[in-house]
Amino acid sequence: MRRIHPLLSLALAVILLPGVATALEFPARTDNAANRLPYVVEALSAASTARILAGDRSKALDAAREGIASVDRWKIALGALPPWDGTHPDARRSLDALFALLPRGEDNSILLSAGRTFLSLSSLRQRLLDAEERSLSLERKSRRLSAAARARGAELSARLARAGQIGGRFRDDARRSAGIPRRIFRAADDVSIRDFGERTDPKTAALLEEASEKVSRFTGSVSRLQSAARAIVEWQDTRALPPEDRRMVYFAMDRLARAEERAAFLEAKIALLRARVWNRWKEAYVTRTDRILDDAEVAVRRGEAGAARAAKAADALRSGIGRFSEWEVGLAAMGGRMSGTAAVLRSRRAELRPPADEALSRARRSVLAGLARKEWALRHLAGRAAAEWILEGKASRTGDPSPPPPGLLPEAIRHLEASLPPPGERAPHTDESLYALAALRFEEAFRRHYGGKEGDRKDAPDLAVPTALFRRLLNEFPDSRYEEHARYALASCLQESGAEDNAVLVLEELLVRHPSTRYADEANLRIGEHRFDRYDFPGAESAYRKVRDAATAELRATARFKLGWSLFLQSRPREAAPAFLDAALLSSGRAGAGGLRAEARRMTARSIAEAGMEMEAEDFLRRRKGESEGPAVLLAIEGLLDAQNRYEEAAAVATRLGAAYPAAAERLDAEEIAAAALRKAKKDDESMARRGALESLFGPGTAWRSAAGRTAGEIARADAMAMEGMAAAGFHFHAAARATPPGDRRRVLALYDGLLARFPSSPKAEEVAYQRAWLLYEDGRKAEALHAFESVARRPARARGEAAWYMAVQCAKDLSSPRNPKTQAEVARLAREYERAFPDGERLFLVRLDGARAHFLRKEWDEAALSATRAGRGARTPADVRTAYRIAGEALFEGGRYAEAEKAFRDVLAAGPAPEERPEIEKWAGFSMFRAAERLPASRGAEAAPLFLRIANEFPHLAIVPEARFRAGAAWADAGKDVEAIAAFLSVESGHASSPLAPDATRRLAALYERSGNPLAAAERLARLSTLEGNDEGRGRYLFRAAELYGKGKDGVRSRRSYADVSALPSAPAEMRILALFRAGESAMADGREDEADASFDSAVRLHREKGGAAPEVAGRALFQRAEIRYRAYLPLRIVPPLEPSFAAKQRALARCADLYAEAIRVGDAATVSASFQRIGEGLEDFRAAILASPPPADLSAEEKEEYVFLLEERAAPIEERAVESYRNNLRQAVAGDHFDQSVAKSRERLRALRPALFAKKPEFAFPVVPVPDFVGITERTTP
Amino acid sequence: MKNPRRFTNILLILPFLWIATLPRAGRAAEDATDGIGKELNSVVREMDALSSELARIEDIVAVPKATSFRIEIRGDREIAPPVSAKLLLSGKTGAEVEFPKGERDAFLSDSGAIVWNIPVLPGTYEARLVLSHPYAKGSPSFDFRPSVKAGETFLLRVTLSLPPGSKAAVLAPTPEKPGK
Repeated sequence: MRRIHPLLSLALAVILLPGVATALEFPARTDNAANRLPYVVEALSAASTARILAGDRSKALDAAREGIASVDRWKIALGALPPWDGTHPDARRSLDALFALLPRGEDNSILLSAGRTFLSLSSLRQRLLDAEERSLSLERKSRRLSAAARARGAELSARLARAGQIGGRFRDDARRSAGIPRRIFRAADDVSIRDFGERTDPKTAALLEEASEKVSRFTGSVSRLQSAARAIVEWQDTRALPPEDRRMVYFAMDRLARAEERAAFLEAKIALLRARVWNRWKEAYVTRTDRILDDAEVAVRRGEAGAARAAKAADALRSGIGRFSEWEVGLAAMGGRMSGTAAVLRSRRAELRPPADEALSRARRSVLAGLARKEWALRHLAGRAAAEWILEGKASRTGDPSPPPPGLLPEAIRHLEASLPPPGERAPHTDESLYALAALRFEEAFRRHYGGKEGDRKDAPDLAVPTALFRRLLNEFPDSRYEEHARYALASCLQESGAEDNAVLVLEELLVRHPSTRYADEANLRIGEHRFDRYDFPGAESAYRKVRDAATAELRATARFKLGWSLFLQSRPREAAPAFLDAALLSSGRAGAGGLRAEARRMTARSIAEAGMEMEAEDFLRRRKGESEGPAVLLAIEGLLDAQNRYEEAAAVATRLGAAYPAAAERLDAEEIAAAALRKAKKDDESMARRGALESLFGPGTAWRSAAGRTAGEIARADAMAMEGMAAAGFHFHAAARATPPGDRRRVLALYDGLLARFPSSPKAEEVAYQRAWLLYEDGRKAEALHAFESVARRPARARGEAAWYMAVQCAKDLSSPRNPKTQAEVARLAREYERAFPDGERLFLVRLDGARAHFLRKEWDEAALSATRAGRGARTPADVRTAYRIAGEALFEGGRYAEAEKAFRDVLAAGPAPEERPEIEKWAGFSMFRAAERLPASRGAEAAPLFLRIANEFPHLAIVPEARFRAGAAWADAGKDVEAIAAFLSVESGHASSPLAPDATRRLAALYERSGNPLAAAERLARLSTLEGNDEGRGRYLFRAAELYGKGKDGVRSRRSYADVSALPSAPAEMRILALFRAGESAMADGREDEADASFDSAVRLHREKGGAAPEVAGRALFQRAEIRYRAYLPLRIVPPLEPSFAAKQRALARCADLYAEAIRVGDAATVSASFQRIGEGLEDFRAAILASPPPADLSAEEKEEYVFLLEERAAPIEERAVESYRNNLRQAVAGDHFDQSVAKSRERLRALRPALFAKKPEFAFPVVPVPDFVGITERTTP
Repeated sequence: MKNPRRFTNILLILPFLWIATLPRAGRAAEDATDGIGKELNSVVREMDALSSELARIEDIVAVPKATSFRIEIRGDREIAPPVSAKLLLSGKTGAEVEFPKGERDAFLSDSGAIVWNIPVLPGTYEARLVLSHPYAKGSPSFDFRPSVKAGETFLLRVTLSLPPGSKAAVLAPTPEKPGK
């Protein structure tokens, strides 16, 4: 009946609703639509179950996961079903999809019933929808036609408006065109022909205007010129013109008349042309206006016709607009009716929608319930597979051993929790899911509590969830096959949670319910532990002893160890020792024993010691078959004795251990403890001797090293101990030898050599080698020590490198000699090495200083200076600075680098040298400056001079100061700075008068003063220098120059005195003495002291004569000067009454000068001769003039006066002849001696004046003839 | 239109007629304008020439100075003297003279010459001297380019000669004697 009922419903549906008939085909069609998910899920569930049973958890989990994923996709597919759109075809599609998604094997009655109802309702809705759409279509069509009619009417209205505009425009055009003729006629009245022509034909108008203007201007000009010409003709009376010019006026008038006639002709021609042009312009104007008038008339006619056509079109458009308006109204009414019908149909359709939706929801819920059941089953499978994997730690029971991947635990928990049905529903796998979930929650709590780290934690893990789950399982499923395991697990949870009493109760109940349970040994151990913790040692001993021999080694070892402790704590060490030894033996060879074995060994040793059996330990071990634990137990006993301050006994145990177990690895620790114990017992030598001998116990070739099973680590440790031991022993005995010499130095050297040979690259090797070098150095073996230090310094580690290099330098210094450059080179080399290796070394200053000294001794100045300067830069004390810079300064000085040397010495001075050292340093600084200045070339005197002066200023007490000042003066003079040079030389002259440079300074001063325009000062210096000369000639030269300079300085007195001094020098050259007298005369003459001058000139002439004519030229000039003095006295003399005496006086005066002039002519040179002749001539002419100018006596009559003048002329004539003769002689001697000067010129002039016929002839010149070229025509110009 | 071909011919001919007639009218108007323009241009140029001459006359009137050409005509061997002479200045007759008997007689003497002084305005001229000779078929002439300023006289010495074997007299410049 349950099967028939849906079939009947289906049959009825087929009859009642066409859509229901197809429901029969649902399952077949919907499988494909659901992508066959129901079948896939079913298959995966089966596969997962089979794999779990086969123990393959990984693949079972994969299958279950895939099934769950498929269920998820299933759900998504169900959820993603598009909502029903309300149409009948979509209703069928929705129902097909639901059928496809129904799980296999589930009851489908609910789905079929709901589906039928849904399909019938959707069919009815479809029919209503069709009717509604038809109504709406009709409504839309009506409205579209109505809108078209309205648009057409609007278009016709726009055309009507346009027709009105066109008609209006046509009418406007006609009106405007009708007014054009009137405007044209008015414009014709206003315009002038000339303006029209300028606009239409500007070129011709401009030409006409230009021609008229030119004729006008021309006429004006002709009139003006005609009146001007007439004026010229009329003015002929007042301004006569030459005939040719007058003829030109008439010619011009004629040309003017002709030009006027021509202008008149041209003016007439222009008038004729203007008339022709104007006629042409008029014709053009008329033609243009006629054409415009014709066009206007045509436009009027066209406008009127257009306006008529526009009115006709407007009428037709108005008719059309009316018709379209009627159509629009009718169509709008029809559309309204169709709209109402559609609204009614839509309302009915909406009423059917809720029942249809409810039917579809019912169908969907039935599918979802089936899906949930499928998912629980798959979740259970996945959770079980994952739990087995996590709890057993491998992916497969027999195959894949992969550990569980991270994240599997939460996944498993998630699956298992999801597999539990909601309250009120049951599932066959619920107890299994609960057990697995509790176990996993237990695991999870532990992991969360310990965070993946082992070790005790004071607080307990939170196991409330697994405890509750285990209790739920025991309560809800008391007969479950998981009951025994759940109870043990509950006990574990309680113990871990700190509820140990409850845990022990649960364990005791477990032992009661299941006496032979697999958990019995563990339960007894835990019960023992509980009692031990509560100091119930006898109870604990009982529980521990219940642990069976069949239990696991780990359980047994723990139980024996705790049993030993229970006995030990009951003060029964002799019984405890075997229990501990058993625990140690049970723990041996077990990987997970942890520290139990070591603790058991230690407690075994302690029990033996507590029981006083330490001396018979080897026997005890042998009896209990515990030899394998022997070395460790003995080592522990040694440690216990050492801790009890029984050092020597402890050392003895180490010796016993070596004897009993020679190959034991524990011997290393035993020896170490023994050495430490001896040291603590104040037996250092024995301790060090024991350490130094380790190499002989454990080194290559010993039995210990070749024992079977010896590991590389043990050998390495033995080597390290041996190396450390040898080094420590060597250092210990080396220190002892230094403290109490001589000590056992051979033993130390042997230890050092042994270590270096055995462990050449050990970390201690460098220090040992360094100490070995020191040992050699201390023994006085310097050469060996040098090589040893250098080899240490060249080691790559370089911990002792700096000290080694330094010591190497010291060794080299000790081995060196100042006279042996080779040894110095070694010192320099090692110093260089040190500096290169340790540019910031602690002893860098000392090494650089050593290097600088070595270079200095080798005369390598630059290197020495460089090294010393660097040392100076790094010096830390003033004394170091002084030492370094002194060496640097001396090296630089020797190397010729004076400026740098000066700086170095100044650095020494700045560092505050000792008082006795300071003068020496200052001297070196001064020398350096002097040399630096001296080196500068003369062209750089301005730089050198200040440098020289700085020496004097800074170090005035130095012996080189005078020379420095003198050199400064010379340098200034070279640079052309005379003032500064004079100051420098003056400082030498005045400040260092006793210096041999003082006379030189005076000499230089004289020259400088003279050059700088101070002749008096120069003269004084020369006078002073003259006193230093040893002979008269030298003295005379200085004095003569001094006299000249006095004269130049306008100091005539001192000048003449100097000249006199020169003339008084008996051994001086005669020429010099004569010239000095002559110059003295000139000086006196310049001062107006003619008598004194005359005397000097006379002395000069006399000395000349005394010396046999030594200086004729000077003597001649002296005679001439003497004559000149007399000539100047002669000239003013006049011949006045009484005539006789004045005549005689003038004659005598003339005779006095003439004699002297004649003497000068005889003695002197050409210039003196010509001057003397000229003067004689001039004197004679003056005498003649004086005679002629003499006044006649007053008492003479006119005739007598005339006679008197005649007589005078007679007397004067021979005198003039003599003057002419003198002038002529002058010319003769000048020509003969090829000499010409002013005096000769004057003589010639006088001769021309006195004898013009002979001496004043004019020259004649021939002029050149200029040829005339061959001209075509010649233009003759008249002067204006 | 009974004959369509005739109508077509007329349509074809019409454009040519239009092309042929329109330029003629236009050219006539242009010719008229150009003719008057040319005449006006020639009047303006002539006025400019007169103005230039007037400026030179003004120079003479302001400071009257004799400005002239002096033409000395000599004869070679026993050639007959010229009857008259004409001086063309820039192609126009500037001066004209008939030599009186006295001058012609002087021409026949050994060192005699006919001298003709012609007043001129200052300026540069393209000049031609043309003589009328009793024997010559053509008139002997001589072209020269004188340039005179106010107060200057341009002297031209020419010799009238009869080359051997020729009946045409030749007028040539008289060579200057060196050293004069």
